[in-house]
Amino acid sequence: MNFDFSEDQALVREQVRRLLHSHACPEMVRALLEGDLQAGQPAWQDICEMGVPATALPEALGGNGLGYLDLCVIAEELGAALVPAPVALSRFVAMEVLLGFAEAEPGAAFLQKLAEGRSIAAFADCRRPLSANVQIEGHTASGWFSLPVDGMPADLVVMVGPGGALFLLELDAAGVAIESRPLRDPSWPEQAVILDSAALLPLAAGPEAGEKLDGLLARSAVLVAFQQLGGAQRCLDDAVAYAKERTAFGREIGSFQALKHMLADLYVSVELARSNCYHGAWALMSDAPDLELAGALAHVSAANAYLACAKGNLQVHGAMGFTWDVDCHLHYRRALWLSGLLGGRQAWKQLIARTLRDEAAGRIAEADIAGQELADGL
Amino acid sequence: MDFEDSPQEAEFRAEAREWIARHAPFDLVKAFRSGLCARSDLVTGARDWQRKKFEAGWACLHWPKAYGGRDAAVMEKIIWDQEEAPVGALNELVLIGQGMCAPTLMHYANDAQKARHLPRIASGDEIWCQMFSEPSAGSDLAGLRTRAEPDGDDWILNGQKIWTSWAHEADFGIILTRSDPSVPKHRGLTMFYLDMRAPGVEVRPIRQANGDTVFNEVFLTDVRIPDAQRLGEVNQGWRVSLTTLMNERMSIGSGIPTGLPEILDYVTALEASGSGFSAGAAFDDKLADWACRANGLKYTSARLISALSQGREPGPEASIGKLVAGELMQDIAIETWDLLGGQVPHGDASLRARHSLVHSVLMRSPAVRIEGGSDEILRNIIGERVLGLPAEPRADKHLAFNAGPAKAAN
Ligand SMILES: Cc1cc2nc3c(=O)[nH]c(=O)nc-3n(C[C@H](O)[C@H](O)[C@H](O)COP(=O)(O)OP(=O)(O)OC[C@H]3O[C@@H](n4cnc5c(N)ncnc54)[C@H](O)[C@@H]3O)c2cc1C
Repeated sequence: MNFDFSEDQALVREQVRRLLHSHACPEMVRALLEGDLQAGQPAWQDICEMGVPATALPEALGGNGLGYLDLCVIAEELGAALVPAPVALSRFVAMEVLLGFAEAEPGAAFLQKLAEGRSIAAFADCRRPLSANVQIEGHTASGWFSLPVDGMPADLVVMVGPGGALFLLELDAAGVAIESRPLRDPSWPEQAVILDSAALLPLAAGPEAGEKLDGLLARSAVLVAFQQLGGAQRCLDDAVAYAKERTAFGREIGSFQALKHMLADLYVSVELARSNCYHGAWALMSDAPDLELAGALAHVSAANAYLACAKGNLQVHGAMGFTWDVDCHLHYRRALWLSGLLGGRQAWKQLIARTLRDEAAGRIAEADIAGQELADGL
Repeated sequence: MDFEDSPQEAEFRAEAREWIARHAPFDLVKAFRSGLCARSDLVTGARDWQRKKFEAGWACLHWPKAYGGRDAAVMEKIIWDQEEAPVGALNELVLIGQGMCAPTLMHYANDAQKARHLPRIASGDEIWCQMFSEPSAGSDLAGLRTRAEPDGDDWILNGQKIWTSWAHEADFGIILTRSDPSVPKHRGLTMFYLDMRAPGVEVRPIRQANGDTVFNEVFLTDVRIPDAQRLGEVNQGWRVSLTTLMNERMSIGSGIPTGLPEILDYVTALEASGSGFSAGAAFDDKLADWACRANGLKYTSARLISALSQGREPGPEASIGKLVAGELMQDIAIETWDLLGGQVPHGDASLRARHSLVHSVLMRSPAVRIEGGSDEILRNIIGERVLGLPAEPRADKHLAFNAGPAKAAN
C-alpha cells in the first residue's frame, strides 16, 4: 500500500509550481474581475506549452504520456496559485465530458485542438432553469444561456440540451452572439450566449447519454476538488502566517484560543478534504466502480474546506482582509465560484445520500433475517 | 497511489480473516452493542478471546516472540486490527495494558520485569490500568499531587487518582507521581508501576453518566513500592508519560467507529418496516455531510497507515482522528434522536436492538470528547504543534510546583 503521490508526480508538482510562480496570478485575477476577459492569456499560454490540456489524454488524441494522478497534482497547484486560466472549464469539465464521446466524430477532432490549446471549451447544462432558456429544434438552437469566463473566453461549448441530449456549439458560428451583462460585483465574470437558430453538432442523445454524463462529471468533480484543495491549503497557510505575525493586546493573535481553535478546525477540514481527494484520485486513476460516490465526496468535502478556509482567512486578516489589494477576497470569490461550477454542493450531496441509502437498503434486506434470529435467540 | 496489499499481506489478511471468522464470538458483541447482554458477560467473553488469540499466536503479534508476540511487521498488526474490528469491543479491557502500559514497560522496565509481565499482558491474564488523572489534574496533567517519597530502597505513595478505567479489574497499573514539589511542575514527576492489590490501594468504582461502570477512583494510603518498580529516572516522569501517551495516539488514532453505517441502517430499516416512517430530505443532507467526514477520517487513517508502512512515524497530526470521530458520532446520534422525535419502536425486537445502539452512542459519545485529551486540548495541540502557532501564556510554567496555584488551592 502506498496511498500517496509518487516521486515523479512530486516533480510534476514542482515544475508547475515554478511556472505559475513566474506569473503574477493574483494581479491577473484582479484584471479579470475588472472586465479584462483575456487577462489570463500569458499564464494560459505557458500552461498550454507545458502540455496541461493534453495531460491524461490517450496518445491517439494528442496525450503527452502523463496520467490522471499528474493532472490531480497540477489541479492542486493551479488552485493554490489562484491562476486565472480556463483549465477547470476547458480541461477538467468540457474535455472530460467530450472524452466520453471521443470514439466518434466530431468529438475526436475537437479534442485534438483542445489538447494543443488551439481552442478553449466550456460546459453549459441548459437543463438548469435559472441560467438557461434554450429551445432546440432538430440540430439548431435558439434562446440564451450563461457562460462563465476564467482568464480566457471559450470558443466552443459542450452543451446539455433541455432534453438531456449532448451537443457541441461553436461560438463563432452563425446565429451566436455574446453579450456581457453586468451584475453588481459578481463573484466571477460571465457572459450571456444568445442563440438565434444556431447550428449544433450532436454528440449523444437518449437516456444513456444522461447516465454516461453523470459518470463523466464525477471525473470532473475529482479534478475540481483538487483545485479547491489547493486553494484551501493556501488560505490556511496564509491565515496561519498572518496569525503568527500580527500582534494585539501585547501578543501574537495566533496565541488567542478563539483564533487558534478556528485555525485547528480549518486544518482538520483541509486534511479530511485531502484524504477524500486522494481517494477520488485513486478512483479516477483506476476507473473504480464507486467513482461517482468518490468524486462527490471529494468535491463536497473540498468545497466545504475551501469555503471555510477562505472565510476564515479573511476573518483572521481583519480589515486588511477586506481590501481589494490583499488576496483574501480573491480566494473567497474563487471558492464560491468553484463550489457552483458543477451544479452546486446540494446536487452532489443528494448523489451521496442516494448512493448510501441504496447501499443501506441492500444491507437491510440481507441482515433482516439474521437480526431477527439474533433477537429471538436471546 | 494504491490501496493494494502486497501478496504477502494479502495472504496474511486471508489467514487472519479466516481464523477470526472461525473463533470470534460475534453474537456476544452484537448482543452487547444492542443492549441485550450485560457488561460482565462481555468482560468474561473478552478474557476468553484474549486467551484464545494468545494460544494461537495472534495476540500482540507485533511484539517480540520472547514477550508473547511473533515479531510481526507493523503492517500485519494493522491488518489484524482491521480484520478484528467487528469484535473490537472485546479489546477494551486490555487496550490500556497492551497499547499503553506495555510499550512503557518495554522501554523502561528491566529484563526480569519484562519477562514476567509482558507475556501475561499479551494473554490477558494480567489486566493493567493507567493512573495519571487526579481530581485536580486532568488536562493539566503535570499539576498532579500524588506524592512519592523515598524510604530506603522503597517509595511511599500517598494521594488520589481518578477516572482510572478498568482499575476494578486490574492487577497492575502504571502511576505518575510527584517526587519533587520544589521544582516547576513538569520537572518533579516520577513514574512507577504498582500492584493493585498492595496494601493501602483502594479502588472505588464510579458510576458513569451512561450508567456503565468502567472508571474508578483509586486511593493510595502509605502504599510501599520497591524502587525497582520505578520506570525511568527520578523526576523524569513527564518524559516517560509522553512515551505512554504517544502510544495512546497510535492505538486509538487508527480507526474509531463513528456509528454511521449502523445508524443509517437503522433509519433505513425503519423506513422499510411498513410503519410509514420516512426520514426526509433534511436527513439526506446531513447524511452527505457525515459521509464526507467519515470517509475523510477513513482515508486519513489510510494515509497514516501508508506513512507507517513506508517507515515514517505518525506525528501530532494523528490527533485529528479522535477529534473528528467524537463530534461526528455525537452529531449523528443527536440528529437521529431528533429525527425520531422521541419515538421508540417497541414492537419489533430487531428494530429495538438497532434502536439501542442510538442510545448507547448518544450516551457514550460525550466521553470520547473528553478522555485521552479533550477536544479543546486536541485543538491546542493541532494549533501549536502542527500549525506552529504561539503557545498560550502559562502562568505557572516556570514556578516551583509548591509556589504555584497548587499552593494557593491548599
Ligand atoms: C471515560 C473516561 C475514561 C478515562 N480513563 C482514564 C484512565 O484510564 N486513566 C487516566 O489517567 N485518566 C482517564 N480519564 C481522564 C481523562 O484523561 C481526563 O478526563 C481528561 O484529560 C480531561 O481532564 P478533566 O476531566 O480533569 O477536565 P479538565 O482538565 O478540568 O477540563 C475541563 C474543561 O476545560 C477545558 N480545558 C482545560 N484546559 C484547557 C485549555 N488549556 N484550553 C482550553 N480548554 C481547556 C477542557 O477541554 C474541558 O472542556 C478518563 C476520562 C474519561 C471521560
